[in-house]
This record gives sequence, structure tokens and C-alpha cells, in this order.
Amino acid sequence: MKTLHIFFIVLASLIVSCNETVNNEISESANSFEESHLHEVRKVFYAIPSPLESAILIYNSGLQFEPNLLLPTKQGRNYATMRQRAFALGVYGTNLSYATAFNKNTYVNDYFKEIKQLASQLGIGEILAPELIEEVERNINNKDTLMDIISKSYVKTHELLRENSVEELSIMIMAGGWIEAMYLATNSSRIGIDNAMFEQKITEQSAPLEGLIALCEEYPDVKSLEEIKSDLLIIQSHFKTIVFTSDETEVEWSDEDSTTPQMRIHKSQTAEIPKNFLSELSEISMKIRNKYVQI
Amino acid sequence: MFKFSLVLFLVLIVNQLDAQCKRFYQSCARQAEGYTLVSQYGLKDFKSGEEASLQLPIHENIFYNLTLCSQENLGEVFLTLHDASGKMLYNGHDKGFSVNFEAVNTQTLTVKVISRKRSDLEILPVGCLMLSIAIRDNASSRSN
Repeated sequence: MKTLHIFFIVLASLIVSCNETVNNEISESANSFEESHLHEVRKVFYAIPSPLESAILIYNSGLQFEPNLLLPTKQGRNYATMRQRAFALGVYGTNLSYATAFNKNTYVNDYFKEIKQLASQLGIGEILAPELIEEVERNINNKDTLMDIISKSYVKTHELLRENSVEELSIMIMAGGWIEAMYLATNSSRIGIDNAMFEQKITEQSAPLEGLIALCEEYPDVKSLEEIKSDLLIIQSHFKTIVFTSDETEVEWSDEDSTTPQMRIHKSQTAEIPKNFLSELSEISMKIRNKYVQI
Repeated sequence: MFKFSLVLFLVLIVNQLDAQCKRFYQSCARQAEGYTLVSQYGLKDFKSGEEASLQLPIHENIFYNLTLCSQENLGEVFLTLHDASGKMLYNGHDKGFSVNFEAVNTQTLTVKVISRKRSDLEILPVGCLMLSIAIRDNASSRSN
């Protein structure tokens, strides 16, 4: 039995050391493929707009920056549970992206520091190393560099949470970020903007909302996700009052023969939106957001 | 003792695959010029002949870049894009690993990552792959 034990350990070591050689040999072998188009569908992923995408959408819609809507910094350190911290990290991520998109640099440093504090409490403090904070300070007036730093930190956050096998916290951060974006967009003053067009843009958020709900459903035994899912379902039932009609998708090409073709994807969609949809959504999103950020 | 050895053996193998993919992901962390990386989806035990899909909401006035990076042993791996009705908008077979597009209207696309099954091998290879999504804002779209 002892021999068998040693055999497995030696075998494992051999596989570990030979793994790359084997891969190279496989890749060098003949390149013929089975012409079958049948593939085993392995997994469906759901992409949720990053806080940066949400902030760009808010900025492009013509809304003004409203600092009174932001979650105050220094509040983050008072959250006691991992669930609250993760939600708040998502909220602060959106606040930081929102301030950056509007070039409100005075807020950027404070939000970075708050995010660093919360990330440490979640066990992923390395996402914002001291050098990165220095880089932020050096580039405080460079919107593109700041956006790049924010985005890379966001990607790293989710990567670390996945590596630490706490994907439920990753979903909580995404939910916090998306709900905050919805809260900021629907609670901002709409003076001077085309209300009908704005309403139309908000209705388009039903797709990422569906993705968020599907992500929560992947973890049916996680209590904290059960609660956020039921809140997202409340928002979804409000979106279900809209009647959508859409045309067929059209594609227009440029540089089709290049290695990185550029295309434009068109699909016109109209939404029949009930009266008071936006004001009701603004109330719902505020109520849900405040429920999670209150101490 | 036998069970312990077997468990240790499996743990070592799984850890090795994880570490191998981590190294691979770092090696393919290149970024399309002018774009900001917003998300990455890594698959660490993707098998030749498999397919994975991503539901991707795309927003108007934002430019997108999707880049696929896969280990050579998987053979041909490519992307296809589909609209909500399933209509294929782009087939990346023989077209490289990257596609750029602009969404004129907001909608949800299905991005499929397809690996052609290799018929030359008895044991199908398993490897790591990564799909990166980067965006670029159409800055001129701000109305005021």
C-alpha cells in the first residue's frame, strides 16, 4: 500500500513537470478537424455592464453631476457584514466611475481610498496597492488613465474573488454597482434633457437586469443572494409593464477583410412605456439601494 | 492511506491546471489599442469540441472589442455573434481572434466561443481560454 501511495505522488509530480511538454506535442500534431458543427454547450455566462460603462451611459445621456446623490465616503468602514461590504464596494465603484466620467476629480481620491479600505475588509486589499494610489494621484487630471485604472481594478477584483471561491461576493458587487447606476440615473434632475429619449434608454436596462437575476439563480443556496434576487425581481416586474417592439438586426461592415473587422450593429426598438414608469422606478431603486447601504 | 494518496494526487493535478491557466491568462492580457478592458472570462478546462456562450448587453455609442485567447492545443477556436432571435451577425471562423463593433442601439448579443472538435486525436485536448471585453466611448455623443 505504501508503494501505491508513493506511486501516485511520483505520478503526480511527473505529470506536473511534463504538462507543458505534452501540450506542445499536441499542438504540433496534424491540424485536421472534424467538420461537425455540433458542439457541446458548456456554460452560459452573463455580462453585467461595468461601473465604467454605466457611468459613460449616464454622462452621455446629458444628465448633470449630482454630488448629493453619492454615498458619503467614510461610511464604508462601518459595514459589519461581508454582504454589506460587497454591496457598498459596488456602490462606491459606480460613484467613482461617475465622478471620473464627469471630470469631478476632487471626489476621485476619496473614493479610491474608501474602496481600498472596503477591499481590504473583503480580503482583496491587493487590488489597490500603494503604487496604484500614487498613480491615481499623478494622473488625477487624466480622465482616460483614471478610467483605465478603475477598469483594471474592477476586473482584478472579480478575478480575485473567483480565485478565492467567493463568487457570491462578486455578484453582490455587480448588483450594488448596477442598482447604484439605476438610482443615480433615475433620481437625477432631468431639466433640459429629452425625457422620452431618456425613458427609452432606461428601459434598455432590462437586459442586464435579467443577467443579474440569472447570476443570482446560479447560487440558490446562498442566502444573501436570495434577498438581492427578490429585490431585483421587484425591479424586473416594473420593467415587465413595458411593451417592446423591435425590428430585425442589421449589420454594416467596414474593413471586413482585415484581421479586426469593424462593424456597426443596428436594431431599432420602440418601447410603449406606462405613465409614471420613471418616477416609480426612481422610488423603487432608491428604496432598494438605501435598504442595503444603511448602517 | 490509498484514499489519501488518491486525493493528494487529484489535488495536485487540479492545482497544476489552475496554475497553468493563471500563467496563460497573464500571457494573453494584451489590450486592444485605444480600448479600456472591462471584463474577462476565463475557462480553465475547456475541451476541444465544446462551446460556451456569453449574454452580452451592448450599449449605444460605445465601441466594443472582443478578443479571444486560447491555448494552441485546443486547435481552432473562434467567436460568433448572434442577436436575441439567434440570427448570426458575425462568424469569426478563419477571421482572427478579435472583432470590433459599435452598437448603434442598445441590445443583448449572444457571444459564442466555439472550439472545433479535433478528429486527429483519440483523447480530446483540454486547455485554457480567455475572452476579454474592452470598450471605447464615442465621446462626441454627449448632447450638452
